[in-house]
Amino acid sequence: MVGLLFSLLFEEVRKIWCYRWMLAATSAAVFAAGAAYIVSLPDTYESWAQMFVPERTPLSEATEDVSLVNKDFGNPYVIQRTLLNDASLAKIITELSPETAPKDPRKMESATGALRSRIDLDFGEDGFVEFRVRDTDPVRAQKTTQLLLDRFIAESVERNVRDLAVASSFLDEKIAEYEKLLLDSQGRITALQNRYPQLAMVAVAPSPDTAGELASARAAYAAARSAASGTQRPVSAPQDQAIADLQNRLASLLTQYTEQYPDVVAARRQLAVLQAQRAQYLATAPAPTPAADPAVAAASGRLAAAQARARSTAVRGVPAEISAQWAELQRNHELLSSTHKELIGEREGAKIAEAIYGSPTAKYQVTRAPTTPVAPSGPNRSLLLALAAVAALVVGVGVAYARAAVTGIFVSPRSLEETFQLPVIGTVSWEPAWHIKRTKHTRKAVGYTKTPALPAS
Amino acid sequence: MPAAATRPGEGVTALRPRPSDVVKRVGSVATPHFDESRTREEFRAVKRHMLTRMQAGPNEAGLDPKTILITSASPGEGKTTVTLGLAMSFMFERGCSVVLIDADMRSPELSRRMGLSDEAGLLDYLEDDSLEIADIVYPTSVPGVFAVPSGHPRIIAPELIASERMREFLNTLHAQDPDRIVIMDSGSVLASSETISLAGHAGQILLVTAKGQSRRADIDDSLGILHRQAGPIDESRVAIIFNKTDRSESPVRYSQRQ
Repeated sequence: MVGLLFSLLFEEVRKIWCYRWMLAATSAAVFAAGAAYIVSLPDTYESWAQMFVPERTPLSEATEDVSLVNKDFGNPYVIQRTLLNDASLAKIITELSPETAPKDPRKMESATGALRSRIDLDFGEDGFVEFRVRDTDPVRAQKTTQLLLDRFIAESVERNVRDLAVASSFLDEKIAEYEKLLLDSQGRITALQNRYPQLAMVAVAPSPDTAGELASARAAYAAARSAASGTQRPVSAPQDQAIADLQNRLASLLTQYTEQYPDVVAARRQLAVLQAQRAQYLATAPAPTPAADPAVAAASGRLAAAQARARSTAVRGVPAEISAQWAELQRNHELLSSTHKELIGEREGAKIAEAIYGSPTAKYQVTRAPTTPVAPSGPNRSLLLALAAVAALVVGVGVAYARAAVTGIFVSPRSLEETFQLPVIGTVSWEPAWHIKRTKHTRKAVGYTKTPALPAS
Repeated sequence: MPAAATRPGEGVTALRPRPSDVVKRVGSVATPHFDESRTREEFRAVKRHMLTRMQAGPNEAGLDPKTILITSASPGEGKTTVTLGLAMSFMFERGCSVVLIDADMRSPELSRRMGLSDEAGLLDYLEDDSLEIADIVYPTSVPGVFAVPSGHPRIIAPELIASERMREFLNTLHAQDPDRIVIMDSGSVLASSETISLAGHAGQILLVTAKGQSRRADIDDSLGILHRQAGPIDESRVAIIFNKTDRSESPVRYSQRQ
């Protein structure tokens, strides 16, 4: 099978060999065209810059607990996605050459696309960002890289400032709202105090949990009592300890002896007696009171404490509902005050964050400024020429093969026989001697003979 | 006293009976410069096949296998070379005489190689009833091998070839010597109409194909024409020779002489 495949492959190769001059001419022509194009390619220069964008800076570390933002704020991920959009690149193109920048939107779109293809941004995980720009003009490459760098920093800072400004504005609004609510709450408290002056004598505002605590203590005590009164049996009998000791001894004996052993028999008899005594004791002993139950005792203690606190906070001469209202007002006021303080704290955090992320030097360090390249970085003409040679050869082989296929030539007797079903009775090798020019030497091979002609018919 | 040796083609003017000692000179084909010719062996293989067919006798159509037509689909595939090679191979057969007929009227290469381009030949004989066979059959430098040149060109060559006189000519050649082999070197099937007529007289047709040169479509058309106009074409009558192969592809193997 493999041999057949090889022979078929070899046959195809021989067909191509029959058109080797066509192959050579085609390959030469294709290579010449490719080489001319490659040689005519302009040199390309690459300018690059590097910047360090750390996740944490000393300033952000120092203000971690008071800053509004966390360590992920200022991530350049969004910037990298927007830096190469059409708008940004159009600005760069305009800044590079204001006079020659295209005005037509289609031309500008084409120019931005071409520029985008010449820019590489590499955002390493170690915080280093590299900007690379390729151009046929080294000076323009350097300028473009510098513009990209500047734009990156400016847009990052601008975005941070914008986001933090939005946060600050929101916080300011909320703080104003809560200040208004606090004023209202204070007004209601003052109005109630004016109606019931004795409320003003309460040094400490009633705990908002006093009523709730009393209610829950009452409920727990009631539940403990009902649980204790539901059980009718005593917890233990005097024989319990003796029974337990005897059971342990019996188990130890059974590991060594059988049931017929005298000690085992005696232990069982004694155990039966103790169990009978215990049963008799439990049957005749009185049931314990619920108060004796430790759970009930605990619940009772808690209830007494809650009642004492409630008595201490109750204001004399004030209806209960007013007391409740007073307690609620106090509670709401305290809540509003707490939230207000939190908002003020956040606002301060936002100001600190603005200070951190609103400055370009705080987070963006240019570690390598772009320079004007001296030596071209491309194109790699040697590689391109080699590729062109290979491509030319492939094209040449393809053309020769196609020509052989179209022509339908034969390179082996086997294919002739298979095609026409006629026997190939011999092959004649290509003898150069058959076609050499007749020289003096070959003429000497001609023999002079005298041979009679054929007899007349 | 025999006449002096002359250069090829000289001394024979035309259409008259000749003295018996007139020398006809045929330029021998240049052979390779080694004793054991690969090409000679290759022609031997072809010859063996043809001799086997000859031993089978005339076919169903009554065509004599000793009348061999050598043709090709297209010009330039080596018909004349194969004709000469076969003739030289048959030379080694004892008791065998060969008559080579140059029937390629458009390109009489065989006549040129043998130096008989200007001699009276087949067309002259077919047109002029006064000529005899002996007038157009020339001996060669190879014993047992005779040649019939194409003759002077004529517009009516295809008609002459297709005439009854041609059949009689071939029959007479065989009648003179039952062991005689007649080999006709004709033009290509697609370029010469005489080939079709000649195929009607041939008991064996040898189709010469050239490696890397003969096209499938041309061979197909040629075989179709021969089949339709010259009788059934099958493996008992038609064989193929694959010409212009490389030495490395030859089935003949040689060892180095010590």
